[in-house]
Amino acid sequence: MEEPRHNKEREILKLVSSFQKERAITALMDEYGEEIKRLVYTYVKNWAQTDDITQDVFVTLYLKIENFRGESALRSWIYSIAINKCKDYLRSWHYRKIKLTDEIIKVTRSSNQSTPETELELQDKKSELSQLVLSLPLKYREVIILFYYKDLSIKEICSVLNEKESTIKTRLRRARESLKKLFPAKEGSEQLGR
Amino acid sequence: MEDKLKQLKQEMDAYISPNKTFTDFDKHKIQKRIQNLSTENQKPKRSFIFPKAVSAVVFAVLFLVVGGIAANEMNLFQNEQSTESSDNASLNNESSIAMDQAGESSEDNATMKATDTEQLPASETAKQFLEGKGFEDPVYINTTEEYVVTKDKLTQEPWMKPWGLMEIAKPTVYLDQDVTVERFTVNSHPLEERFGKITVDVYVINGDAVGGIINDKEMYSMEGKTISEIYKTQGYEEWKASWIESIEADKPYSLKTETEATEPPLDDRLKGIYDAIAADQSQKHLQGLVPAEVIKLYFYAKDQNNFDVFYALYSQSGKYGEPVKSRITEEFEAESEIDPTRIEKYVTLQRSENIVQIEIFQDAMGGSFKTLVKENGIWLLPPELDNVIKH
Repeated sequence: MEEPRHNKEREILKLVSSFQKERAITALMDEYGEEIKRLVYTYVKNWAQTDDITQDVFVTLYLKIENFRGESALRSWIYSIAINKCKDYLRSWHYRKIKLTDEIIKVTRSSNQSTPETELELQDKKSELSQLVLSLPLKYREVIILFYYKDLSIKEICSVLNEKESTIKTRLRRARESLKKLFPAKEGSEQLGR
Repeated sequence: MEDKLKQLKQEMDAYISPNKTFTDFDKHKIQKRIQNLSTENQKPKRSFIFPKAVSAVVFAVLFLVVGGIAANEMNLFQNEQSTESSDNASLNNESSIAMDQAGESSEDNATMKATDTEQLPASETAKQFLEGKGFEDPVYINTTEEYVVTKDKLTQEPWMKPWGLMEIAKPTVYLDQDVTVERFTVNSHPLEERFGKITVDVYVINGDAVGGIINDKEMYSMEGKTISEIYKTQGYEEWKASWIESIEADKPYSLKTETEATEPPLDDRLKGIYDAIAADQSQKHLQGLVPAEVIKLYFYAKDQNNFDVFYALYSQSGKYGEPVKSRITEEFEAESEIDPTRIEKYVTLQRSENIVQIEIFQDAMGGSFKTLVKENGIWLLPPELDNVIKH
């Protein structure tokens, strides 16, 4: 049977208090590495950057873990560090340059290399909702991701994003509405296509 | 929409990647960056202390020179031979007392460190490892290094070589684990004549001593061999290339080591271990022996008609078959084609991390094999070969 997460968190914090930070970080990577990397991807949508930011997150954890006071759950604290790193990156010049380059490539590809296979890929029903969520503006995307994909409660989202409960609730409602608008349009276009 | 969103977790995971995204490679990169951070943090301290020390020395020298000149000018030193000699004598006396005191204080330090050693599990484990290898009174010096085992460490100088010298076939099993390197000086090493006082480094991981090396001006295996001698390669570079390849591929290094048969059948150290097993039949005496040495004990016990020692060389855990005495007695009494006095060498073939085959060469002919399994760091004979294959 898998050990409950809070037990593991307690073990990790014990390692920190006994000056075994390296071991604590290894344990944190085992516990949260996969989860954080996927979270980072939903923000930056680029694997190379996801790799770099995920590394940054754990190095920051190594540097700051002694400052963790236990006022929030360890998971929420790690999430807030990861999200801040992502947002820092999205605000950076580097990201804007890459985004521009990606868009140029996308335009070139869509005009020159559109094949039946790629069309099929785009229409893959299984990933339809994920694609739509990832296409939402960041402030709507992140609340959907944290609430539905990462199972965080409203309260936890408030803590992670440092926003008021009412703000989070409003964003969630608007995000759902946006998705609702986008979803039937896609279904309709598919029916038309048939 | 709400229902669809509730399925987002599974769908998004599959969409992002159906496979694991956070790999060992990510972990290694993070650990490497953390290690670099630690190194960087140490640098300023050194550069901060070093100039101060240099300044202190310069001022001290200046003070002495200026003071000396001034005293000379003021005729404070009388050039009387007798006084000078008696002064020198008293100076020598004082300096010898000072040296004695320094010696005492260094002994105190050594004692203090020895006490520290007892409190440190890693150094204590290392000490026991050395004692198991037959070294008398290993004297603890210090922890020379602590790091996380990564592929970079296993494939880069200066960390790579000790791992090769320790003859660990698949060191990648220790990836991400903390290794502590404990340094000792040892007496009564067979290579003392060649090297003088021997300094050895013992590698401890998770409370287990995984191996050790002689670390004097050059690095050698615990038996005093170089990489080329152990692996029978053309040179260090040849070994290095194949070693790195095996680490990168995460495969066991195809270890092939040769051990000379000793004449008489057991050297003093192995004879001591043999006698210890004969006295209490405990397998703990086998700690630290390489597979070929266990095989030497096997043949010697057979030759000496000592079933107690012979039986003690078999795994008792049941993992590799039950150690049924009647069956082992058959093996003990069976006529062997191997004559221990004519064995020329043992070639160790590593089959996995915990299984080796020893090829025994007699009259320039190989082809006789003995299999050994490693349990709790000790090489033992498996009661049933079929059970080894299962593992």
